[in-house]
Amino acid sequence: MVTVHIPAGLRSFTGGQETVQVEGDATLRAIIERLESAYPGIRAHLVEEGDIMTGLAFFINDTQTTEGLTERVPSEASIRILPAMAGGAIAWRA
Amino acid sequence: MVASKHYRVIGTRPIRHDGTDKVTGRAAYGADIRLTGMLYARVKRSPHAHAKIKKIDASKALALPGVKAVITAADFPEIPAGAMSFGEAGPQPMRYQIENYMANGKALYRGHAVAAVAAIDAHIAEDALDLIDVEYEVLPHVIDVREAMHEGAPILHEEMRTKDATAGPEGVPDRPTNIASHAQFKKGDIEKAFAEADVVIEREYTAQMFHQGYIEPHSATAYWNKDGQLTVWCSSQAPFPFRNQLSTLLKIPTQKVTVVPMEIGGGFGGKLYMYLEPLAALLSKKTGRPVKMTMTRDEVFEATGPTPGGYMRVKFGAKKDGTITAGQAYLAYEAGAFPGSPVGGGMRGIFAPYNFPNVQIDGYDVVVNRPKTAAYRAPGTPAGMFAGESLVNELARQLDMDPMDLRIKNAAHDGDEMPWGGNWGTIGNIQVMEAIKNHPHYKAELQGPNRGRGVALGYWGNAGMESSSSASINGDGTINLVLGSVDIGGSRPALAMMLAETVGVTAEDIKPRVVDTDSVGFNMFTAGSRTAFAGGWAAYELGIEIRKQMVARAAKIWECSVDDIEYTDDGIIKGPKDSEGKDRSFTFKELSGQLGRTGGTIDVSVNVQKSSVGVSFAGHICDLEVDPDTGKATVLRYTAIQDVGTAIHPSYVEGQIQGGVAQGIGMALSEEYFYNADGRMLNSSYLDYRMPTALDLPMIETVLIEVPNPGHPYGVRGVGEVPIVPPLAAVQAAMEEATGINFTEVPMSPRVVLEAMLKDED
Repeated sequence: MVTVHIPAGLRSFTGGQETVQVEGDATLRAIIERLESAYPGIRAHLVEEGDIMTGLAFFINDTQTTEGLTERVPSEASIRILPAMAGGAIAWRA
Repeated sequence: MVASKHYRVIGTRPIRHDGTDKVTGRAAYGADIRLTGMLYARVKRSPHAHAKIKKIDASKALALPGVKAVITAADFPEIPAGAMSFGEAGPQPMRYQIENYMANGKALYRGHAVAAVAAIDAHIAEDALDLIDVEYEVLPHVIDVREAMHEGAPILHEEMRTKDATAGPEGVPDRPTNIASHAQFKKGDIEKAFAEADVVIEREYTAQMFHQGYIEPHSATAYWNKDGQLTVWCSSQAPFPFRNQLSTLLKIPTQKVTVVPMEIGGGFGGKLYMYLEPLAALLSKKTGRPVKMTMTRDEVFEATGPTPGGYMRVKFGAKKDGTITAGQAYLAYEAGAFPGSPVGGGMRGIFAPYNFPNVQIDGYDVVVNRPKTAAYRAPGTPAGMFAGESLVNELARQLDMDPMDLRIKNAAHDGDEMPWGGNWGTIGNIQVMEAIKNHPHYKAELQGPNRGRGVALGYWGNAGMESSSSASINGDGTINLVLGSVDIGGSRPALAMMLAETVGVTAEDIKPRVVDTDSVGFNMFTAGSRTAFAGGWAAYELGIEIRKQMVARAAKIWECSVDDIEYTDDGIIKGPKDSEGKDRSFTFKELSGQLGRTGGTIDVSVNVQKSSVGVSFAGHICDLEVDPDTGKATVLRYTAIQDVGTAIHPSYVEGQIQGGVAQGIGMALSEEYFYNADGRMLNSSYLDYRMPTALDLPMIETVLIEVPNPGHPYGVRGVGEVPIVPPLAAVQAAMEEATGINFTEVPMSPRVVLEAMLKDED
C-alpha cells in the first residue's frame, strides 16, 4: 500500500486524517484517481488540465517527482504533497 | 573557510572568463543592441493607482511626424484560454499576465502601462506620449495589505475568489475579495501546546516593499520579420521561459521565437518577468521594423516588481528551560496588482531552523494597488524571518538566555521533520549555529554607548529544475562549453570549473558561452540558486560522457578493450603496456589532437532534471551604533556564516554573501517605498530610494562552512539567496540592544528610530 500524507489544507476531505493509504504500484495519475474514489473532491485540488496543479509538488519517498503524473509510484512508497516553492516566480515549461 | 574535501580545480580562484570584457566596458548589455532601421518606443503609463480606462485616443500621437505606431491592450491577440501559475497563488486567469503588460479596461497601479508608441527616435516617442488622450474614471485605491483584506476595501478584480484548500468541500464565500489565496502548514496540536506552555509570547511586525535595485534598467529590442520569425534581445534571467511565454501569448510557434540574452546588469529575481518584450514585439510586427525599448529609473521603480511588503504576526510557547513547544505565524503579503506574492518563501523560512513539535503557519496572498511583485533574492523569506527571528531574540531576552543557546536547544537536525512535512536530509543548520557561538566576533566584548549586537538565522530551500548543456573538444584539448543559463553571479566559471574537475583539465581550458534559445536545449531560469546546482550536474554529466568517449578513442588507437584503459582524475588516459612492455598513455591534450583521425570531434550534450537539492542555512552577527541625535545607525562590524555545500569558486561565494548582506542591511535600515495619498511613489530614484553603498558598510567578513549536498556529485548547494535573509533580524536585535527599543518594522530608518527614541524619552 502507498501512504499518502495529506497536507493540512486538504484534511477536510479525508475526515481530518493526516495519512491515508491506497493501492500502489501505479502511476501518480492512478494514485490520485484512487484518492478521488475514496475522498471525492480532493482531485480538484491536486490536478489541473491533466497535470500536477501548479503550486504543488509531489514527493515520492522524499524525492520530488520530475515526471508529472506519469511518475511511477512503487507499492510501499510514501507520498507527500507540499506547496511548491515558487518564490513568486512564474514558470513556463511548455 | 572550513573545507570538506580537496579537489584539483574546485575550491581554487581562477579569473572569470567574462571578466575582461566586463571591466573594459566591452560586454554588451540589453540596451547596447543597435539594428538597422531600428525604432524607439516609450510607454504611456497610468497616473492613477486605480482607475477605469474609458477611452484611449491615439490619433494626435499618430499624426506627429516620426511616429510609426501606437499599441494598446486591443492589439494583443485574443487571450489564450486557461490558467497559468502565479507562484504561490497557484493557477490564475492567464489574462492577468497580459494585463500586467498592458492595462485592459482598468489601470491597477500608478505606472501601469496603458499604451506604447514607436517612433524614429526616443524623443519623438516621448513627445507622442503626451498626445495620447486617455480618459479615466478614478476609483478608490488600496495599497496596505491589512486594509485590502477588510470587508469594504476597494476591489481590484471583481471575479477574484480566494483559493483556499483549508475551506474544505464547502468552498469559499462567493463574493469578490482581494485575498487571492490562503495556504497553511500545520503539525501537532498548537492550542494545547500554548495552553501548557510556561511562557507565551506574541508580536506583530511589518515590512515595507523593497526593490532589487539592479543597476541596469529593463531593456528589450524586438524584430518580427516578414516571414514571421520573432527575435528578442533582452536583459533577462529567463530567456527560455520568455520564449515560451511569447509563443503562447502572441500565438506563434515556439521555433519562430528566438530570445537572445544579453549580458545582465543585475537581476536578483527582478528580471524573471517580461514587461517590455511583448510590447516591442507587437510594435515591430505593426511597423515591420526592429523596435527598442528601455525603461527609465522611474519606470523601473513604479512599473516593475519589487518584493512585497507585509504584515506578520508570530507567537511562541516555551518551557522555562528554553524548549520552544509551539510556533504560530500569520503572514499576509502584498502581491501587488495581480496575485502571486512569494508568501510561501516566508512560510517555509520562518521556523525552518527549528524543530518545534507544534506548528501552524498561515499565509495570505493579497492584491493591492501597487506594481505586481516579483522575486527578489530568497523571495518572501527576509520579511517572514525578520518576524520569526526577532521574536526568537525577544524570547531569549525574556528567558534570560543566550540567543544562540536558545537556538541550539531548539535546532533542527538531519532527519528531523520539517515545519511543512517531510524530513530534512543532510543540512548544515547546527554547524552554522555552533560556528556563530564559537566565532571571535560573537565572543568579543562590544564597548561604548548606543551600541548593540544582534544575531539571526536565515534559510532558503534552493531549486533544481531543468538544465541543458553541450560541450565539444577542440584539437588542442580545450573545450567549448555551451550554456543556456544566463550568468548573473559567476556561473560561467563555476560550471567551467566543474567540467574541468571532471575531465581533468584546467578552468582556463574551458570556454563557457551563454547562447540564445535556438542554440541549446531548454534551461529553466537563472534563479532560485539553481544554476550552480543544476548546471553543475549538467557539466559533470558532460564530463563523464567526454571521459567515456575519450577512453573509446584511446582503445581504438591502442587496439585494446576500453576495460583495459584507466582515465585518471588529472586527465591522463592510461592504456595497457605495448608489445615491448612499455607504458602507454595520453594526456587529454595529446588525445584531443588525434580525434579528427579517429572518428571526428567529440561533441556531447546532456539534459538534467534533478530534485536532490541541498538547502541552505546561514547565520549573521551584527554590531552597530545609533546616533542618538539623528537616529541613524552605522554598522560597525558584520560577520556572515553560511553552509555553502562546496564552495566551487570561493571568491564568488564570498561575493554572493557580501552582496546579499548589503541588500539585507538596506532592507533593515534605509530602503522604502514612499507613497502619497494618491498612491504615487515619491522616491523613484536612487537619490531618494536609499540603498547602502560601499561607503555605508564595513568589510563584511564571511565564514564558509562546507556540509556537502549528498545529492550533487560535487556537493553543491545554492549560495546566492540565503545571505539576504538574516540581516533584518540581526540588525533589529542590535538596534534593540543599542536603544532599548524593540522595533517591529523594517526599515528601521533614521526617522523611525528617532521618533521611537523621542517617544521613549517622553
